[in-house]
Amino acid sequence: MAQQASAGRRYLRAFVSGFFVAVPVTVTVLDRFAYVARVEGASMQPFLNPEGGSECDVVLLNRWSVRNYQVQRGDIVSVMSPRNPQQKIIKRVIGLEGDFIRTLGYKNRYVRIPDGHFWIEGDHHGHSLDSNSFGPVSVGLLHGRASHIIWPPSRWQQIKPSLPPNRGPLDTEEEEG
Amino acid sequence: MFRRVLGKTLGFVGYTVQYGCIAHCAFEYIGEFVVCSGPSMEPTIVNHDIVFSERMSRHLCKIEKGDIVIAKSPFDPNMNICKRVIGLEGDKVCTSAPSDVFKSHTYVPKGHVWLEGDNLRNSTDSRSYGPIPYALIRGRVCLKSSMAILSTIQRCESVGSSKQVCLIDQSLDNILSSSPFCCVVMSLDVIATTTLETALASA
Repeated sequence: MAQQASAGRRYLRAFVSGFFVAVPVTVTVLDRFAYVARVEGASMQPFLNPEGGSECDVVLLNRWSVRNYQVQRGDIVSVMSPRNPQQKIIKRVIGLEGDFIRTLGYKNRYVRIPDGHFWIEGDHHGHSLDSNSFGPVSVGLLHGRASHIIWPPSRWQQIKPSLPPNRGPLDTEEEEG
Repeated sequence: MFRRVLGKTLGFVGYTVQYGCIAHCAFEYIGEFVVCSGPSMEPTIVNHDIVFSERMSRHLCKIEKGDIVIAKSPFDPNMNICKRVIGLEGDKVCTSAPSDVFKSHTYVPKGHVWLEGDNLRNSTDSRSYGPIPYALIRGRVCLKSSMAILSTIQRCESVGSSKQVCLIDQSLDNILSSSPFCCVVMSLDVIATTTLETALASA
């Protein structure tokens, strides 16, 4: 009887110590290094969620590479939504600070992006709530950079930065475009 | 011999990782000490005050009007600003300087907050750069320590157009001045200096 009680106590102690290791380590890894997220909605079609409907892609978000808030044009990033702080949105970076951007349906036709901001857009124009509706987004809201598609397995791939055609920043001389 | 050294090294690395992760969770979800610099929150928080900012109310969306918050600067994500929340989403706020004759008003958009420093003459805040997204807020300032006096910063009840600065120093010093808390604060200074800075105000 006494043996059973001591064994129970040993199991409890092992469980508690394992718990105190596993939970902080998991939280830290998710916060600092990598995060796995399911993509919902049609705003990034055709690159993510090409079928639509109930099929959801799962992407790996690299949080270590954005610790200094450095992104390139064409990267797919996840950002805290400026409209709803509980929600994260996944979009493509179109312009960085200082760029001139031709907008699609924003209140100004051309926009110079202010310091510490970037311009993000979904690939599926017209079905995406992005910088064309709320303007440039502060870099401080950056959450992670999507680096791999990990589900479905048939589309397992690394995500390379790529800008959609005709969506780069404008040079000052070809502003007529 | 070799095996013992290897085992000791591995154990040391394991403990380092474990305590590093626990420290990260504490700073990210409980709170941290921050040294404020700059004149924009005078007289509530003066230069080089040490404040404790707690994180839970930001994660639970419990930030209210009158709270003093620490937020990332919208123009430089590596810099932090320390301001008072004047308006939440949907509120009508006054955007003009206190000395202006004609007052102008605006509404705070969805998901944003309106921040102003207590030192209205010498503060760069939402009156110059507009409302900032809620998600830029890092924590709510709940304790401050200056010159061995610990005072609780109370929520300012009557904010709005009048914007009274009301800091109620509850004299906790007779309870706490003998406690070792202030020494703890001073020794934690080193950790906190990495995340200091109020916005350096340009007049």
